Amino acid sequence: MRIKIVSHTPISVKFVLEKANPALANAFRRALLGEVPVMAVDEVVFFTNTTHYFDEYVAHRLAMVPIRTDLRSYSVGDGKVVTLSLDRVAEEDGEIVYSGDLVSSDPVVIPANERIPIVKMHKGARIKLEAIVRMGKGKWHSKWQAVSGLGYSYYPIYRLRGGAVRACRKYVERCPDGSFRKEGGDYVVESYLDCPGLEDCIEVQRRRDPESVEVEDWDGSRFIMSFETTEALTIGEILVAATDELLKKFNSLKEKISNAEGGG
Amino acid sequence: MFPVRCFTCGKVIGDKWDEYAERVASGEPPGKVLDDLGIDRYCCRRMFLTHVDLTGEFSRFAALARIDATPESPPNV
Repeated sequence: MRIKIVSHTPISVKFVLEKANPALANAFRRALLGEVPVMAVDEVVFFTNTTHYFDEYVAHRLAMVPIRTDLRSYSVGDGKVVTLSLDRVAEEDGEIVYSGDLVSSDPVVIPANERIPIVKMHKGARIKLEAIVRMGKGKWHSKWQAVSGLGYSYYPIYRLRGGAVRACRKYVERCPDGSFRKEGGDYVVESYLDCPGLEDCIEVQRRRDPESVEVEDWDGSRFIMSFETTEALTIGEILVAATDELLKKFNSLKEKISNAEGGG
Repeated sequence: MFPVRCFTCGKVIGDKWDEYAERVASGEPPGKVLDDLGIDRYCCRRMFLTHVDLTGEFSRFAALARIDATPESPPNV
């Protein structure tokens, strides 16, 4: 398995999973979704809440706020907690409590996004609470999910004909050797993501003239994956953590098999 | 109040409502504002397009039922 980053921003990434197979690609997807350890509000103690919102409603909103996770100091099941506290009396009608108003007991573990509204208050209302943050995994509850918009597809091998050949020639000619071949008047592009600008050209051409762009085959050993982070972890931390978790699972399986063989 | 996450994909959207509401109120087309905010998927887009902010509405009635309602904090209309 090899990961080749195609494009990324601070919060989203698109990459090709190479030397893989459908089972491994799906295992990796599930590791990204459910196995990456992340911190989230797990319990909320309310001392006072005279706002118009139920305790449960506020607690749920707090749980959805991504918390910047420190993977070095915390791990799943270590019993360590961080508390976020809040005590606020509204001086005006319509005052909003934001995620950034929560005061953390650990300066590193703070809400990853400070601009998320938690509750709207009316004049004189008071809310005092303590939110307990724990490490968890996405498979237990989606509040512990480090990614959103995660998905993958097989790698398409395109055949460009007629109009598409004319429109996209300049991009195909810039492709690295071996990523495309000529067949008659057609181009067969094996790795269209390696050619700068070709992806957009194919997209435009497919809308203009669907006949001229054909997916000749779907490559079952390469997968185009993409996801976004909730900003609890960085893209790099998520990829590393997911790979670690997957390796741990493979190793424990290997161990169990060898134990069974030895004991049998 | 506007949801913190997209119901379907889990993207954090709570922080983007204020800007969206402001710009749409000032006459910009909602689709363009969503593009600018980086809301690409239609699951997240519908969260914005279909949201109706009722906080002001129900707080009028909640205020009447409040146990600690005092004369100096009249119902929020």
